[in-house]
Amino acid sequence: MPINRNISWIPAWVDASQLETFNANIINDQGGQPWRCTRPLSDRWSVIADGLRESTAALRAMPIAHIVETIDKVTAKWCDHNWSVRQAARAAVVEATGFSAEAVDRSFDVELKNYRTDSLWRVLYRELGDAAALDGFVADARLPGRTYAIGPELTLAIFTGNVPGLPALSMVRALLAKSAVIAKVASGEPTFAARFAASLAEEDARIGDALLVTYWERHERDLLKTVLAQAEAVIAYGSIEACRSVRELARNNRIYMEHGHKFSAGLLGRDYLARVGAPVIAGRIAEDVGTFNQHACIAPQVYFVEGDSAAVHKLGDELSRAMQAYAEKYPLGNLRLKDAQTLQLQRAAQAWKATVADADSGLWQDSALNWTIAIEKDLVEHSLSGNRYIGLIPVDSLEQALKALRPYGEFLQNLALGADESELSVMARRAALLGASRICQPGRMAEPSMMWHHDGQLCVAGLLRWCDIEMHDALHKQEEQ
Amino acid sequence: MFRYKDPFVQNLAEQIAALILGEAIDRESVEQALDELALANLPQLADYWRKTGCRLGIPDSAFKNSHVYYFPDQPAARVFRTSGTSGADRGAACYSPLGLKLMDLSIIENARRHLIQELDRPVIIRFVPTVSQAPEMIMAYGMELIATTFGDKARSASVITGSGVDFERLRSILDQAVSDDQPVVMLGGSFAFVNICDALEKLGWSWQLPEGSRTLDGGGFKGRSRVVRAGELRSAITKTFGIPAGRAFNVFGMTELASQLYDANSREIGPLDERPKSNLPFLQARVRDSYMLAYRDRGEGLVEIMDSCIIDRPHRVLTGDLGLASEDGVAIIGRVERGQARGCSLSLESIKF
Repeated sequence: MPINRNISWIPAWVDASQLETFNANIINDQGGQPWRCTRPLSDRWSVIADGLRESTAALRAMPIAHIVETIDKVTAKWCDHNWSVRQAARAAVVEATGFSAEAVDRSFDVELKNYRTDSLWRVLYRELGDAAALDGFVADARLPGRTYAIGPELTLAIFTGNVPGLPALSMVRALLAKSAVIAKVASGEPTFAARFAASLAEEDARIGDALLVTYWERHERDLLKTVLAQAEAVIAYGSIEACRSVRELARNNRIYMEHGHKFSAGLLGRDYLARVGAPVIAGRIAEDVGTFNQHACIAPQVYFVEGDSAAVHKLGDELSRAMQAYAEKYPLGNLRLKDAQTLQLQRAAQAWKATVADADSGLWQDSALNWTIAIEKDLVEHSLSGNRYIGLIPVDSLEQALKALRPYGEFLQNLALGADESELSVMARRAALLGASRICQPGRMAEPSMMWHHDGQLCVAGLLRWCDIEMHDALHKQEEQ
Repeated sequence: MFRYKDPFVQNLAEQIAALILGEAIDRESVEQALDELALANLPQLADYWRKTGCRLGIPDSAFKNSHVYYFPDQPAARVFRTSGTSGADRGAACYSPLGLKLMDLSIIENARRHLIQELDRPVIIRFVPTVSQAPEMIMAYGMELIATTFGDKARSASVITGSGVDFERLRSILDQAVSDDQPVVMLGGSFAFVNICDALEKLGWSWQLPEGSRTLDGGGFKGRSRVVRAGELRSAITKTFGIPAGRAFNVFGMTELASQLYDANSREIGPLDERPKSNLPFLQARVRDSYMLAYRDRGEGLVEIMDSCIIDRPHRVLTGDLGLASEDGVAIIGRVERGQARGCSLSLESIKF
């Protein structure tokens, strides 16, 4: 079946005369037809933003329970591998990213399971205390008084294309805050967001009316300024430079939330490795590295291994089997030409190290460029990541690993701590102080819950402002106690 | 392990010299002998080849930190170093006396064939430092060797001083050459040519140099702030010196190689007007497929250079460049991106402290 080339979602109420449709200038070295994109004419953004704000008013009139239920219903469909919409979305993402169909399916499964009822309510209660505050004033005994949480009238979300299915996350967060969304898709994966929006619209047209998904190029700064002028909140994903360039322009936006590029790693303690065993741990590392083809910031670039060279080589052997097994189940897909070139050169450099220059070094790889394992002396030696390239770094102690990570503290995100209880609490505290925002066990790096304080932030509550009623005689006496 | 004085080594060097001089020597038997020497004196090379799945050229990173040199019984006669930002990541290439002799022969014969051609004692001006100013810089060495071998001794010079280009001296040499109708050959780094043409334009100076004058630029624009098309540079050379594009040659060389590759012809086949490089029996650029590493006759891939004039270390080098293979040879079209993180992982390269 031919792939639907449209990467935009325009609410039904927008008049066609306010729109332009064009071929998105997105280069895909795998060939293929251009993607088609529709967006408001540059002088119509303010009118359309007004319409989106009206849609926000409609969202505010809905009980949060209805929004949660709608997202859950839509997600249930998305979680069905046989749903035709999911299958079509998968084909589009495969084309856009070069990921294998299996890798995309795996990404969808990991991403989308977060948007089920249970998970959504937990997020709301964890971040807000009382989710009903989104529907109007609720009693707040600690105030004491009443409190009401109000989301932005309009949120702009700027996506990256690294993780298939990820755009759903920011759309869901904004909808939980009852905010209309303008979503700007990424050239790396421009197809999923519009399909997700369409599926929400199909379930409840009023929600579809609050979503606009489109695309512009990074150099279109004036257009970005125009849209920023309309948005109350901004959620920006991207590289350090991309985020900086949005941040500079978003100074007047009341809320600015950023998910810049990050560094994640694993640490394996000697005792933990001995207790769990190298074969099991290897399987877990393969999950961490393989999921999303290691394109997610939560994916480890390196694993520090407490032990001597022999122990690390043994783990490398086990890991090579695990990576191959993972690749057979979830092949990487088609590497971009530039990525293949970079990888080949890095592999040659590592092969030279492993065979000629440094006896402690090591290299395992498959011939199909699906995965690579390199034993590296230290973090300074590590220069490549993504596309399942994992560095193993021997250390004398986990303390030494944390020390190595210290210079990167502000970029630190997800740490797998392979350590048992007594060591875990000590190391976790240090990692937290260093800058990490998530700690889990090896093998669970790729599937953070939606409850996680993503990059250390309250991602739904961070979109809200609050109004409290206090010190008022008219309030019921009970609320005052 | 072959000792330096082993007849095998001495004989191999003679065979290579004959190959450089164009004698009827079987190229493949020389290559085989070079591989035999490599496997004897660097047995780990077999492991490297096994690891990479083919007889892959050694990566340019192999020259960093530690360097390979086959002959512990013969101190190196000369060491060239790459221009790194710090001492630690500067690469080094060591040459035995025999290796250096082959290198000299290669530089001279290649220049005779591709650059000097019919010229007799032209004025040779260098936009690179002298060897005494930059003893470890291979471009300074090679260009000085060309100048002293082929140039008019009285008039040839480097116009680079400690404080930059000596424009007055350049002007006086060029004016003299014009008035005597003596052809001029100018040698220098690609970016030096760009800067000099820019500066001369600002000064309002230009020449119509005598018939037969020519330029040779090397080094390309890697790591430079500005991308300059090869065609743009040639136009600037024509405008500034009156030298036609067909006589503005480019050469590809690097510290890691003993020989340099010259333009095969004037066809601009690369995306930035790069020309294909000429292959010779002792010197060949080939392109390896980016996915499979097999050699390709056409299209883009990783550049591997087989330089038979290298006898002190493996003679095939994976240079880290991208090439476009064509029927006329391989055009060097850029560098392979390094240290890139894919996805939203942070590239540590981008924030290295």
